[in-house]
Amino acid sequence: MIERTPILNAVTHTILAVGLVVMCFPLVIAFVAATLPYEAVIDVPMTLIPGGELLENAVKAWERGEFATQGVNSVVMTLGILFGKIACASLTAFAICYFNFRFRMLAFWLIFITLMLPLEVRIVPTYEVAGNALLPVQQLLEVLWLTDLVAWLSGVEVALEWNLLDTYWGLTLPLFASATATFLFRQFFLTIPEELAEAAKMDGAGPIRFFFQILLPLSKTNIAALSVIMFVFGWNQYLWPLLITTDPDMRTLVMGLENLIPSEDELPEWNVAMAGTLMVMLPPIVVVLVLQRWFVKGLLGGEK
Amino acid sequence: MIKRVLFRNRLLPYLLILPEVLIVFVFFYWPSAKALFWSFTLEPPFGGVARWVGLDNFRELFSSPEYYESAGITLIFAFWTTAISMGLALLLAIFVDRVIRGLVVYRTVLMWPYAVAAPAAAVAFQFIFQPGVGFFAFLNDIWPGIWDPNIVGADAMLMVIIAASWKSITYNFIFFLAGLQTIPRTFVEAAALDGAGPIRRFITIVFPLLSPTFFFLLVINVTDSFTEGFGIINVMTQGGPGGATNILVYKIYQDGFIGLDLSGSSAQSVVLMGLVIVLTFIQFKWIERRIHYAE
Amino acid sequence: MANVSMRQVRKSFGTTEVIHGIDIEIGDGEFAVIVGPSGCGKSTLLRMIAGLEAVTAGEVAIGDRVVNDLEPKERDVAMVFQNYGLYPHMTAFQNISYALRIARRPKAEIRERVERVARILGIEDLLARKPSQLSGGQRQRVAMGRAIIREPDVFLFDEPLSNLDAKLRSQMRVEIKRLHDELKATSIFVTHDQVEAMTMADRLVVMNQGVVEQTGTPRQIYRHPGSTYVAGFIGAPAMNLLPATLSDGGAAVEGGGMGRIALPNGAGPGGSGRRVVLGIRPEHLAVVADGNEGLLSARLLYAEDLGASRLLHCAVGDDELIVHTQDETGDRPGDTLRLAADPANLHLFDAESGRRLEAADSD
Repeated sequence: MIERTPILNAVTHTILAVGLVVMCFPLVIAFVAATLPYEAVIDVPMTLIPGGELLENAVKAWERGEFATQGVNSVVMTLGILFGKIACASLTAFAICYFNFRFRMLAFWLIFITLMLPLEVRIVPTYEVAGNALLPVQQLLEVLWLTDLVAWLSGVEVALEWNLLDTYWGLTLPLFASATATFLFRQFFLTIPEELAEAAKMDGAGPIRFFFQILLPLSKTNIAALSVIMFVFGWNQYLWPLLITTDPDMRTLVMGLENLIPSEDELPEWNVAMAGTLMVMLPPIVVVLVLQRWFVKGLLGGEK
Repeated sequence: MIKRVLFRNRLLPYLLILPEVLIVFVFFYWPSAKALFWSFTLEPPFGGVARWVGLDNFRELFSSPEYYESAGITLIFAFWTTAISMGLALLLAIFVDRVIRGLVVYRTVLMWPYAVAAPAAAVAFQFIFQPGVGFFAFLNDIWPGIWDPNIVGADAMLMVIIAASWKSITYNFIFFLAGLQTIPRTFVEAAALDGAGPIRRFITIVFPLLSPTFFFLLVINVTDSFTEGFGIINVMTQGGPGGATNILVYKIYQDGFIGLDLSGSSAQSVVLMGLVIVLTFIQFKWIERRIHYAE
Repeated sequence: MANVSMRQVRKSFGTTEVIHGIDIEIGDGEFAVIVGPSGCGKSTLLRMIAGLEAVTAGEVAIGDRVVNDLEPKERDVAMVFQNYGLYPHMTAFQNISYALRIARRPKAEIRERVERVARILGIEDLLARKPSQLSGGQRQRVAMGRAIIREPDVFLFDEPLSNLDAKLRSQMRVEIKRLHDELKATSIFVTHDQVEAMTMADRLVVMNQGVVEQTGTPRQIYRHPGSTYVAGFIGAPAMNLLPATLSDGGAAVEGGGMGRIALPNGAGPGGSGRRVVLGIRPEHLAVVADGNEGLLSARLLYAEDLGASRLLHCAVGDDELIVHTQDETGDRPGDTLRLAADPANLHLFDAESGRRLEAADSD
């Protein structure tokens, strides 16, 4: 680097140190608060020296927030979304790269364009579909008068219903589709040498075998990178679980946090709330920090 | 776009794309189409026959002062969140790029905000910014009543902007750092030999080369602050106090779910969808340009 | 074991036809080399035999089966690829045995066959390694092993040596030929390198722009190139091609900077005044003293010393030609040389079509 003067180096490290303090600040405060007894946490000004009650507060938060149930739900949802997304995306990308079929480009664009339709802008109708995932089929049939036809022919009233509210399917299935993951897999498959598929064909491997024995093993690093991103994405889901769960037993940790915020008419036990927050934050932080290399690759991969 | 070597099979490719295409149809296109349909009808919340009303819903929307207020709040929120987050991220990236020792430490620390769920960050920030307890409560000890986001709209806005900016710094930082690291050292060194100082070098060499990244992040940040502010707002302020943080997404949720005004909420959804589509198109253009650069 | 025949084979990509009706007959156990410049369609042809590319029209037959509609695995062919096409995540053993594992052969048989093949190729010690831990030459051998183990009717080689350095390439040339002598399976080898083509082929197929220019043994093609294209492509340095005119009622040629050169058989193809191209290989020209028959007068431009011999680049009128000589002469650039051409090794081509003209050919 040019101009490696002592002054410039000092400036650099000072600015970075300030930056680090700012970035760490919320976590440090949350951590300190989580270690304090109730009397200390409501003290103003708040002390910045950690106390010794982290474990007690954590246990209280665990019980009050029903973390055991919610933790299971969070894990199921996160892993479900993770596997679902990777499976759907890799299969679609495989079809788009290695087969020539009539609706190839249409399928690609159909999935890609969903980038423009985030959940937040179509909340209410998506909720309606979650109430009955077969609703689109039902209504299409009705429009085509096929329900009437069946009713007339057999006397059976066609009423298709698959309620996803308050189910694990509901928490995960709608999030299986992923334009970014599909795009990433496609980009990666396109870089795989043609000769591998040719060699596999000569060796007598069919498409399914090629996919599982050659393509997926070669995608290992990409899947790892994608998994880190998807883990964080899945764990941190908030709006969707909020919409489709009403049963307290189906809530996730991130949703449950809200219950820990002290309301006006109860003891402001922020120490317990902070202990709970730390626990909820922890899994994705650990994943990101431990798998930092994959995380950065996955995040940057989205734009290449 | 496609491999030279293809597998021949009539049915298989359709089976392979089926799961994702079905999900996309049921959970993306159907609801979007529904929102569009509802926005042109008067939809009774508890069932019954919808009535076609043309553009009435939109007319009502655009003559509602509340809507303009919410749009204004969204703009303020989007602008400051983007500005603070990108500004800080760029600053940190520039200096981290200069560092050799400690790079891993700096980078690691800057990673974690991304991993934190927005609602979790929101809870932490809410504690920090409480008027009576927490870190900033001391302000009220010195000047009583100077800070209260539970009552003062501006304070609440500041609080959610800070929380949202903090949360998105990582993403911007990683992209800026990657962008800086792809700039060939020889350019910067050549400029240095030509006698350009560090600030001049940044303005004339580094920033122009970084501008595609900058533009990409700008669009992403604005889009995200339109949509992803939800978690933070819902936990910290619920749009309050007095609607001071009621950004458009939150209003859609409130009007649709709490107010059960399907038609009005759908009209808002359609407008917001239009905005997001425009922004995403701009982003596609950027991606195209990037591809040309690469080749 | 099988012969391979192509009958009126055509291939189009979209509306562009790249193979224009090719007929080739390759005998059982023959080592055929298809040679041509890049883009001439030779790889496409090979891939059609392999079944990796559909045949647009015509017939490809292996043995007595027409294989047009068969999948690659049903054709009993194996292929060695230009970039080897080894599976990067599998060891050499797994790469070589993949086809057998797909075919669900018993474990013991697979092991035994892989070991036998490894012994033939001298890679017994490398079987546990992944491709990234192998050198170029070793990868090449593994790729060969993957083909050999299947004991196919036909081996296909798609420029397999082009990624090796010069020394390794000549070594592998010899080795592939030795293997062929051992296995005696029909082999089709595609290359753009005419040295590879000349040294390896039992039968040489020269392709250009989607058509077969000439087929024959390397010797035949070298001695009697069927066109100016083949003449220029086969042999290094390339044959000298000089525009000329028949004279003396077809008994001699003359033109440009050269004098009159009598044709050996006394009567050339066609009468005086016909425009032709005269081909003389550099090694069939000699620097001589004045007064000899069949003389050209040339000005020396520069000389390349190859050690054992020299290449003299000369100007004859407006044309340039190369003399490949083992004589030591003290000539310097700018000197005038007298060149004699061996009359028995003159080639005549039609000036327009570029086709070879035989003495008896009175067209």
